[in-house]
Parts: sequence; C-alpha cells; structure tokens
Amino acid sequence: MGKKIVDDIDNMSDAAKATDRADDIADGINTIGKIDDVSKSVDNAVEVVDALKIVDVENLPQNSSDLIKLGWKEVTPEGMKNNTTSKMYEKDGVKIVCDEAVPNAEGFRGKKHYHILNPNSTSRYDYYLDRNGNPVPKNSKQSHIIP
Amino acid sequence: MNLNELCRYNLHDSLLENIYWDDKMHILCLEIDFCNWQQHNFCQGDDETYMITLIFKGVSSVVIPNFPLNSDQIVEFKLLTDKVVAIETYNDITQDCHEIIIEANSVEIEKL
Repeated sequence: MGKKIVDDIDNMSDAAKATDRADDIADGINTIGKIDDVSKSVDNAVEVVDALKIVDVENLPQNSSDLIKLGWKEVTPEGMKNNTTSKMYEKDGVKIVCDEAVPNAEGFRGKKHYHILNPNSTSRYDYYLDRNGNPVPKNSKQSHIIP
Repeated sequence: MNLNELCRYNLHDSLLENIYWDDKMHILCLEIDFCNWQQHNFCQGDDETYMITLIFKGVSSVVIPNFPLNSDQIVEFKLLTDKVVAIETYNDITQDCHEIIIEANSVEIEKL
C-alpha cells in the first residue's frame, strides 16, 4: 500500500514534469512565432521604405506622362484607358495611378492627384500608401497625393 | 430626384460594395462606401466616409459587371443623357476598369 502510494506520487510527479515540459515547448513555439511576426514586419517595413525610394512624392510631375522620362512605364489597363482619364504607371514593382482633375470640380476632384498602390497590400484597409509611406485604406483622404 | 442631380455629388473614389437588382420592380440599388470628405459641404469633424444606397427607380435597362465586386473604386461618374448614367469602377481582382450603365427615371440617396 505504502509502495503504491509512493509509486502514485512518482507517477504524478512525472506527469507534472511532462506537463511543465509541454508548457516549455509551447512557450518556445510561441516565441518562434513572435520572432517570425517581427521578422515579417521588418521585411514589410523595409519594402514600404523602398516604395518611397522609387516614388519621389515631392516631385510628382503635373503632367503624368513625364513619369516615362523618369523610368516609369505606362501600364494603364484597357478599360481604364478607354473609359476614363486616369492613367497607371509602374516602376520596379511599384504602381501609381494619376487621376486627372475635373474642370470646375471642387476639392480633390478639381485637382490632379496621384495614388501610390501599396505593394504589400493585404486588403482594402492598406491598399494605398500615403505621402509618408504609411498604408492607408482605399477611399481615404490620405491616399490622395497632389503633385 | 433626377439623375442629373447626382452630379452634385463627387463619387470619385467612393467604393461600390454591392449591387441589388429587382427585375420585377425595375429597381437597382448600389450600396456605396461614400467619400463624404470629398463633398463640397464637408466640415472637419464630420464622418469622412459612410455607407449610402443609390436607389434607381423605373430602370429600363442596366449593364452591370459579371464578376464579384471587391470594394470597387468609382473612378468616374458620367451623365450620358438625362436618363442614362455610366459609372466607371476599378476592380482590383480583374485589375481593370468596368462600366455600369443605368437607364432610369429617378434616383434616391439613402444614408445607411
């Protein structure tokens, strides 16, 4: 009886050690996961900075076709070309859209403006970059960049 | 209101979220994430965006996209005649602009 109790205690102790060990392993996995998340965030941050190196936000031309002289390629899709005055350009994996001003319109619509497409976008909520390279949503004021 | 009164609103960059078409009632509804900040009467402190529905009534013909919407951006809104509007939207899945053409007698705007 006494030996059985001792054996039971030993078994419980082993079970507790196994539980502790499992917890340690789980913590380790969680830590690795967090390191992965940080690593991905760093990678994304590096790419956002690179997008701004490609787009000279302070010197976007009034005439968007001047972008071609700066190494941009016009990639306006057919439907946009046929039915709108907007144009799309691409350089080193970064796309920007130029929306023409509407005569006599007020606000942004009365001014030519650009949008920088976020190359790392995952949803409508980080679809564009603002002039500082921060991800911003699709219909946000910050996504509008006036040259 | 008449369709030409829609030109008072700046729909550029508002997002087309859903389209509802009632063939029997000849009603077409466009659910839009509306850029209030683009409007001439926007004041600091107002909601920058909110959901609206454009309700077109007496719709006699309509051309709508044949692919899933994905918060498509309204690029241009054109009044072709006093009864016909064309709405150019950009879909980031097809990565192109598409045209919605609506012929209707009137339109209402409801804030959701």
